[in-house]
Amino acid sequence: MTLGLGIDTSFDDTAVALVRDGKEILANLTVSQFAEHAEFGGVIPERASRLHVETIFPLLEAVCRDADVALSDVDFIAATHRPGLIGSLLVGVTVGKALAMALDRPLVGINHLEAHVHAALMAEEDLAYPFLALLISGANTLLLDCPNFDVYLRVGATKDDAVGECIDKCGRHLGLAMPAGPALEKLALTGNPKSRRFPRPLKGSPDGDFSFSGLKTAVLYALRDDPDLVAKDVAAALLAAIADVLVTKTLRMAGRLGRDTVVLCGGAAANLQIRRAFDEESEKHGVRVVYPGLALCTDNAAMVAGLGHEKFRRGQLSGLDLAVEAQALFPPL
Amino acid sequence: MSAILAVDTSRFATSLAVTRAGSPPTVFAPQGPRVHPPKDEIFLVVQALLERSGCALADLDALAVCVGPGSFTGLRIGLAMTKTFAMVGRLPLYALDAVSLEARRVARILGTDLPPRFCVVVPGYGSVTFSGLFTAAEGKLELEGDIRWHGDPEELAASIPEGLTRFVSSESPLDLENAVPVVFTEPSALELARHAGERLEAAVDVPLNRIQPLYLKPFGVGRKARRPEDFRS
Repeated sequence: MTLGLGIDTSFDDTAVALVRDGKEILANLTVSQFAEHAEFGGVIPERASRLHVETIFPLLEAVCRDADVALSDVDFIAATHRPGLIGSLLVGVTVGKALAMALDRPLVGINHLEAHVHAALMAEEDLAYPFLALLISGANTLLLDCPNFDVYLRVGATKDDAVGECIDKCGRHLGLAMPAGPALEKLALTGNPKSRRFPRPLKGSPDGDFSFSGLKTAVLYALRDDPDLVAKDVAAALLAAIADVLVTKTLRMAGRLGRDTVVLCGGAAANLQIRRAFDEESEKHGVRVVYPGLALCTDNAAMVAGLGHEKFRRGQLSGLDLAVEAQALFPPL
Repeated sequence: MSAILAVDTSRFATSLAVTRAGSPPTVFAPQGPRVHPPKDEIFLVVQALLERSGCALADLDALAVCVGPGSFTGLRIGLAMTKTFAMVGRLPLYALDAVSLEARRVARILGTDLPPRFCVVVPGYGSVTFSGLFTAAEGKLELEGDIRWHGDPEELAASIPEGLTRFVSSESPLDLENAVPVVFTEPSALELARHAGERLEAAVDVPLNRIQPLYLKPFGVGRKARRPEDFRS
């Protein structure tokens, strides 16, 4: 039995988790800073770093209490070291290094995006490589081919806005409180997705790239030019456009690469309309779509501990000089 | 002296010290302005320092940390490291602000020549300084009021009462008018370790959650951070 402690402070959520044998989540706590940044309409990096320092220690105590384990029971420490806000990453990595040194346990540096993909392997017992992964969140829209463990090949990415960013900003245009994603999803449930046809950027392009900034502008102009538009219909039509592009391009690329499994992960993968669209279309293409549970979709540290377990098992350990990096670039396919 | 690891990452040069009873202290104190071990390597430096002093983390009696004001990133690294060590080892962690730490160093250098009331100035980033007014009586230093943040030397000069001696480290990159430069002969972490030793001896108990970085500068002042209404205007 191996007990892993996961730490993620890559952006504006402070997350700590304890996971046994890479699968069994004993405790998984995340403290969102969203309310602290709301007045600025976005995350302020310096403020985020300050809040991580305040939050991480009570959170460490809380996960140990929830899981009824002592820190000394932990076999390894996994900490996200890229990509993210440098100041935020430094807090989690420093605590991870200090724990590794004080407990005399190995440290495992984790790529946050790889951990999102790995979350699907934690959630689905029978999921196996190879597969295609679509990672959608507030900061990323990334299509990755995953032929084996630790091999991530970039098939495509957004050229501008990420999916979550597009949804959040359109939600703001609709007057929804930030983060607008969940509110916009709820609003869209009762709206008519065919009330208006928003553009499907890059849907027809043969590559795996995406673009959502034009769609965001289209929603802004539609609301400006047509005062009779109904918010719930705009929300439904927007999500229909996003889902159409994501599903079409992902399934087309899965067919081209011969992948019969698609992993849909990242915070925006929690969106019900996008999931439904994948479910409906994937059957027609004979492709299996796997989603991690909702708790593993959004930023969390269980996925960090889970991936950390695989790396620990394979001896892929990090030193106390582990560096933090703002970016994580994947080699192209 | 008890076994203490002292960490000062608040200033231009990182200062670390390990003290042990019956042994000379082991220090990491590079010379020159703005000398830090790279932030990714500070743990290796601490590890080497402990090894050199023949001491393991488990052998420590207490930890000491400078909570600033100073380098924001430096403070977070120092705090996160020492608080984690304290949490795992159930060790007391003693914190001291950077200005009071500097006042203790000034007092140690000047001894009986220390004026009964004086000001200490600690350089921050760019033209920023921090200052504190102190009274010295019966071997004790008392901070009058709060430590203050000054955006530029003029603001600093205006805040110090006329005729009060103002001390600043001779290594300060700022040319401060009427300031008396003090040549420190030992690293700041050593004074920090002494402070922790005194607190440990007095059995002072400070809950870990009360030890937080002292940023001083109000968030967003003079920075690019703006609220949505700023853009609209």
